[in-house]
Amino acid sequence: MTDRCLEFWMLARLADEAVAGPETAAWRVHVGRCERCRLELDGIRATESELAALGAAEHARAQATSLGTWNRIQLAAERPALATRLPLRVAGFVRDLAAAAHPALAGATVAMVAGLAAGTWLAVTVDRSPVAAAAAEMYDTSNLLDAASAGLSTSYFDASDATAADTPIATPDDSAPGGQP
Amino acid sequence: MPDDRDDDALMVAVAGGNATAFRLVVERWSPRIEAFAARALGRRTDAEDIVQETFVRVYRSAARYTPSGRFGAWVFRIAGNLVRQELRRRRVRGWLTGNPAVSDESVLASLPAPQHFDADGPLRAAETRATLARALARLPDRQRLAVLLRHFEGLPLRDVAAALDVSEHAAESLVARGMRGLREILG
Repeated sequence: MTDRCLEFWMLARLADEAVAGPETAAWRVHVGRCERCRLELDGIRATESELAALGAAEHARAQATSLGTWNRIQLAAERPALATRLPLRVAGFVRDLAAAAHPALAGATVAMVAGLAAGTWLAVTVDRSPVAAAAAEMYDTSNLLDAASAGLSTSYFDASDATAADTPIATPDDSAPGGQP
Repeated sequence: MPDDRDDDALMVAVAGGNATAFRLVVERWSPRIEAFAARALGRRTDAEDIVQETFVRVYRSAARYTPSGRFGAWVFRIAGNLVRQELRRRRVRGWLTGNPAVSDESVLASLPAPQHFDADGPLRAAETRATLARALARLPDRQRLAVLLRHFEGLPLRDVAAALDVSEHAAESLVARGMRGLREILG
């Protein structure tokens, strides 16, 4: 085991003193003999140091530019929470929902989804049934017949169309001067 | 006047409605939260929003905080959740708009990292840190967060795990993969 070069996670664990456990003793022996692993370990440690230095420097910068931070946080923290900003009824509903916690919300969601699914299924099934198709056809036909017999067909057209539609189609006999022989 | 009370004592006071104690908590922790969020998200304005939301939640949940000497873990858990939420929102937004071009990578790399360092150290150190910042930006989100929490913030592994909502073993793995990615990018 110690003759083979260490995998990266082993070296990372070695470099991170805080997580190095008892299993690392054999790894250390290997690193002591293997220049390649030692170089890699040194590289990891150097990168970790750079990260820590970068962190410290950026904390200092954030500290220097944090003049307005407190004011913004204070304003935001003193603002009432959403539920208390809502009108009384809505706020009560939101509080009830929150109190009901996840099981009730989950139940309501399942019921809503089931209802939607059932509605969609019914709509699709009823629409495709032969009885419904026949009924729809009868309804259309009877409506048209009723409308035609009541002289309502013009209501489907605008005024100009209605005029044109109501104008009787001239027949050769009608247009002949003198009318009927 | 500095206040040497520890975070737990301050949080007990915050839970009792003590605004001064809350201000001390904010002043003590907000720079760290802001630096972490800025490096994780890449936009200073987003980081400021994360800081604000984190401390609003700290304030409103103060009564639920159990003094256990782990305030850092608690506050970074809140901030970590908000950062991950923001990263998810960005992904969804990018997917919906078909414009994932606002990559974290480009934004993170554009942070003015070196400017601050020039005054304190040699130019080479500033360059190294800028290179490191760009390399961090190229890591996958979870690995970047894990590396930032462990080595940039110096949190113990169990706090990293808590902040990322994963097991300690998974957190160690994320940190190791992140470090490997960094080493490869840095050459």
